Amino acid sequence: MVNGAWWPLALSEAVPVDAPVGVVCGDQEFVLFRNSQGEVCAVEDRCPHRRVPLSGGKVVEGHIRCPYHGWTFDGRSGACVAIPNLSADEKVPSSYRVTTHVVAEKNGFVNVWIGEGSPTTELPFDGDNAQGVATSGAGVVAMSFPDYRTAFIDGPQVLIDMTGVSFTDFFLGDPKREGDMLVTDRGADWGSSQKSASRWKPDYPLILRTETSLSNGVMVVRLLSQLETPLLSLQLAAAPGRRNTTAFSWRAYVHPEFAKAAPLKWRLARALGQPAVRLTNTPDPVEISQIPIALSIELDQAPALSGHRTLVAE
Amino acid sequence: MSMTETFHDATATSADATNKPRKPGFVDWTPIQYDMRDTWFPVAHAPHVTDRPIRRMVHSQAYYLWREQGVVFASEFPPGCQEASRHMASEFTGGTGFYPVVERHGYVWAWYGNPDQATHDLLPHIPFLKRDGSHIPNYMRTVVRFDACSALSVENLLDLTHADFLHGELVGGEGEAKSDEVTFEFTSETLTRTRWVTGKPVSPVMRWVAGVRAQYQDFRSTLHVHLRSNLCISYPRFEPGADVPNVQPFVPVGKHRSRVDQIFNLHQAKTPFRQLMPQMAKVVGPQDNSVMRPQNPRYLYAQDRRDMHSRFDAPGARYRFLMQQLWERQKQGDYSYGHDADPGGDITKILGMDKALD
Repeated sequence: MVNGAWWPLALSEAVPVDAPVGVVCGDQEFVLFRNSQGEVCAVEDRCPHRRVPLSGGKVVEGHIRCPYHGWTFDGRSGACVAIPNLSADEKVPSSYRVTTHVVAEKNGFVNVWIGEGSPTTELPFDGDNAQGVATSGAGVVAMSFPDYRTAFIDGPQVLIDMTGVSFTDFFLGDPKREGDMLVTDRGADWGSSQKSASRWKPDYPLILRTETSLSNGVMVVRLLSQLETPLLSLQLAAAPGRRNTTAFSWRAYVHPEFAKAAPLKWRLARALGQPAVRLTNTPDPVEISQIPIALSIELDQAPALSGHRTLVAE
Repeated sequence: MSMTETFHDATATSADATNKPRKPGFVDWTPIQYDMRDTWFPVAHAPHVTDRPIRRMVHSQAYYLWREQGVVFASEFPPGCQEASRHMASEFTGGTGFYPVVERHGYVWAWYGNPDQATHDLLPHIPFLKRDGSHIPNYMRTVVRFDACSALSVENLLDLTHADFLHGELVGGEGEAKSDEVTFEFTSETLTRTRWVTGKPVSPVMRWVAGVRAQYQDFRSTLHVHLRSNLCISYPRFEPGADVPNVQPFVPVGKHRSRVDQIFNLHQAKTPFRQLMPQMAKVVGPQDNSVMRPQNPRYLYAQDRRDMHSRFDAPGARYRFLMQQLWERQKQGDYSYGHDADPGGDITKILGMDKALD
């Protein structure tokens, strides 16, 4: 039996009340939209009539309507509720429906259950006590999902720009398994995010912790003080896209403690409106190619990602 | 013998209409694989063929077209290369490098298939265009490229209910109508679909361009499809409004693309509708492509799930069946025309016209 998992595929605010959104995870295509109660629904992004993507359609009275011939579907049951050109006394067969998927919106993300088994009650980012001022974003990278994940573990600096913070690749110990997360620590310092911190400093004042899920695309970055006080949390949700790309969405929280710990230069940058965190759509390919393989070898020891072999290159 | 079927029910499918695994014997619709032979294709508007050669594609086969002293030529190779390339000439030209070619109804037609089987008797009859191609002003000609195989493009035309949604701001009236009936007739080589709609809100193009002041209009639209070539001869009639007879040859460029060199006959329509109606293709074409472009890859390979149908898909379902039957015959090497078929026959009455132009 292949174990399923929750995959966060969009930020909540990315799914508006009046329009559908198409998302992809591996070889599966979904359309997300909100019903008339504002609840998010997830159905297969394929009209069963003529296979046209429903994500190009409209949300009409809380249902998803295909852009081609107007066939309209309920997001919860999947039932076809209307074939518009039929007359009022003609019924739509009850067997006409689109495939629905279990979906849950929580912690600022829209999550879809993918795979076998009953959905768990625990959702991505549950228990994550991120707090503070939040920013968010989304994008697509021309990297395969496995490569994105290993780059995140071995060299997060090529994917993430934390303004005013220099990462290092001096790993503080080896990766640890905590539940289904692979956790790694490395030193970090205040300074330019475009350069690695000095190797000669006796102690780094900051810890950069990455947490990578072994069952879905959840990745978390925590910037901690040397005494492990949380300063900044980045919740990152990645998913394998088409043509070996990776789609990602993220939300970053700057904790109240950050302002106290950060140098004046960092606080001034915030006051001037510079973002605390940026994730790039176009990581430097030379930098990527130069990331030594290190901590990510632990992934080889972990079980294959949810059994979805199309999602992870073996 | 042709057969007529009328559907008024809400469904035209079997009970196996859900996403269940297909039953034994189920053959999915994979039109991109169909490469029908022994037929004429209108490969170009006649005025587009001049002494400067142009290149068109039919099922990935190159057709170079040009004129010498007014006489049209169609060849596998550019002019001047025939002798040097003759050893590479294909079966489509019988080793000569030249395709059978003819001009009629304002088009240059070239044969695709065994050239020994080319006969003018198989050229489609288009009763609203003069046989000699005269009286077709340039503004009644358009070129539209479709980002899908020709069969999916034909399906787009067979089920016009899509116009209410995809072309709503042009055609208007999302699904509203007093009545909406579809019938069809067929032979082994043709399919004719007729749709009658009454009490439909007048579309924006009819109101603002054709000058129709009524709130509602009726329309009757007949579409005659030649299966091998996917040539579509269309006669929509709007009341109040105008008749908009037109030819849409969905020439299969390849598996993923088709091309339409469209001709209208709008001589009975008033200005500015007469001049502007053909330009609507520049709006309608991209709208069609917005769904057909992502749709085409989903028909590349056979799938386990049947497409669902409504009664408006009855002609389309029959079209699929006829195409599949024709393809099966051709795969066995049988390119003959069925005894029930007369592709060159007079279709004046089929289109609902009183008489042909010629």
